Amino acid sequence: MIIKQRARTLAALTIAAVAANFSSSAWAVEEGEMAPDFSLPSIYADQPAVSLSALQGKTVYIDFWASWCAPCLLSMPLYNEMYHKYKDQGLEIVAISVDNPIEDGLDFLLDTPLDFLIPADPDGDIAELFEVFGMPTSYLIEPDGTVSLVHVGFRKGDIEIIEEAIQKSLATH
Amino acid sequence: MKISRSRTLLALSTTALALPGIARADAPPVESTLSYKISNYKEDDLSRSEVLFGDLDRYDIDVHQFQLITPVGRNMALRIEANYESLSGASPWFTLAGSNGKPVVSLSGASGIRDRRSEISVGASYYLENGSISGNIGYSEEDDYRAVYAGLSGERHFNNDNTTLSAGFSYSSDDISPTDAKLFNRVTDEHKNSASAYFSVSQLINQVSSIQSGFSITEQSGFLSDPYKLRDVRPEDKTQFAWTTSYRRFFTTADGALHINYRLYHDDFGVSSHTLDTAWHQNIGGSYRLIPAVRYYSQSAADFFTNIDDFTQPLTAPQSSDYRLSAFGAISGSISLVADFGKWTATLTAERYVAREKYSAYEVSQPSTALVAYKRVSFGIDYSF
Amino acid sequence: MRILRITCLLLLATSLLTACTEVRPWQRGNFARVEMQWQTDPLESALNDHIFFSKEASSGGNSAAGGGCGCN
Repeated sequence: MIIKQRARTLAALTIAAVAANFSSSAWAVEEGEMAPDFSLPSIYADQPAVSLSALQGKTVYIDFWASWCAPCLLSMPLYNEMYHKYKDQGLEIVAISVDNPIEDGLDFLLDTPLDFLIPADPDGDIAELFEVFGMPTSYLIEPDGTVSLVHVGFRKGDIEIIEEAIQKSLATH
Repeated sequence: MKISRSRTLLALSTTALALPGIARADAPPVESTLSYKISNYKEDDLSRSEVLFGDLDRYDIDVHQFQLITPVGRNMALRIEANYESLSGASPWFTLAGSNGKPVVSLSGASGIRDRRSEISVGASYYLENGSISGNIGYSEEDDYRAVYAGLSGERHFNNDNTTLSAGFSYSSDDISPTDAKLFNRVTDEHKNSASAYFSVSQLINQVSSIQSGFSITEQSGFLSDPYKLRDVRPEDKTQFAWTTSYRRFFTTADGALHINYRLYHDDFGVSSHTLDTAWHQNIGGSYRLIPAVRYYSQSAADFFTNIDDFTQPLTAPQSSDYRLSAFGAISGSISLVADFGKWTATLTAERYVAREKYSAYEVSQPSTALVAYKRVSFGIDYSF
Repeated sequence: MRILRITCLLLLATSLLTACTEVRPWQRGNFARVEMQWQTDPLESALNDHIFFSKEASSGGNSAAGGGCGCN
């Protein structure tokens, strides 16, 4: 039946069209690779710019967050605690805010002050550089510049996983 | 987005569980939320010229809704819902030709109807890396009606979460035992089953807009007639199709969002319908939202609808004068005010709905006398912890 | 046949839209807004679905039918 054949062709075409859109993420900063260097202004107008190369030799935990991301907001106070616990052992936390406008991020920080470095990436250039594929996404960077952990999302129990990785990294100092 | 909004956001991620397949569930909720809503629904009285004799007032219903959504462990969320309704009033019992040939209706019950309905349902969702699976079971009970139902659904994200496919299935098994059955020569124990499936796709268009389109099919079988009407005979099978498309667009300068939903429906009783509803969500300050909304609905009549009961027909011939199967149109408008106080959110809503023969987009060959008009007021509270 | 045609048109229309722009994860702020959800008030949606189900002949759309009641 011609009608049945046409229906089948139409079905096949649409499935192909839809499938063609299922592109997988091309290149992303993965565990084992070198972290790309970057420099971003601080979210605070009165603080200096933050650059990754300046932190070489330390264990750096980079986290991409935004004030509109619920799990991100949950993780921030926990990260603050962790920063205080390990900063004397050589931990640096860099929480890159992708809020646009940056005032949204500043509003959150007014209520929840954080003591680690907070650069602002409103245009998402560095998020693009790291090929961030979920919010939040965090990267643990060893003193030699390699990425030892990539963590997407933030659920219950994740802080323990992250803390363990940080402890392991600090032990190599 | 002010800081007060982030609390709402934390609460809001929980609404992902609300109805399987509609919300985009990216991750389990980060907080628990308890919600309560109280509503009153009151239908307009019929006018004396529309009624044969007796009561003019129709339904007056109070509704209480409760919901608890809470994360469980790392990857799960639990939802518990309970509803309680109490109803008083009267509904159309039969229609006859009035003195001028136009139908007049008689409402049931000298003292009116009093009914209560209680419902409880429990659902769980399991969140994977790129999607989620949800299941729910529920039970609903009234003086004359009992239903047990269950559903299963799932959704999967693609294209870096730009596209979401979701699908689900649900089944309900209902028992009907009309009150005063012997007194009014009604059926005593009847049964009906309902099975339903849906499939939908949602897509982000750009940073400010998204679209969703879904299709559902429902199959009902068993006793589908209204046992409280003097003559109401419906087929024992019914197949329904519905296709809904929704659009959301955020306007940055205005700080508001536009919602447009359209549904096309058809069933094998012969009813087709169009539903178009739009709403504008206006943010005011950092803590308030005003939401005016308008809905237009129009349906065609069922094949066996008759606006004047025909008692000469054999009892096996499908026939119904139920206004809900007649051709009519309905316009409703509502306004909601939402206030966000950090952990608490309060919502006040008022709605007015009017069904009229002249609003119909379809031809009305047999207008029903008993078309409904109602007012509804609701007050809701949400608490996140 | 009609169902197949409708589904294909649906998918086709949707896949054409994906040709617009891909929204990156850090650009999804607007979709986190309460007012941009498919359902902004689940209890309100459930109540409306229930009222319209019992006062009109249509139901369904984006979800499978929920529980029963003696109201239809």
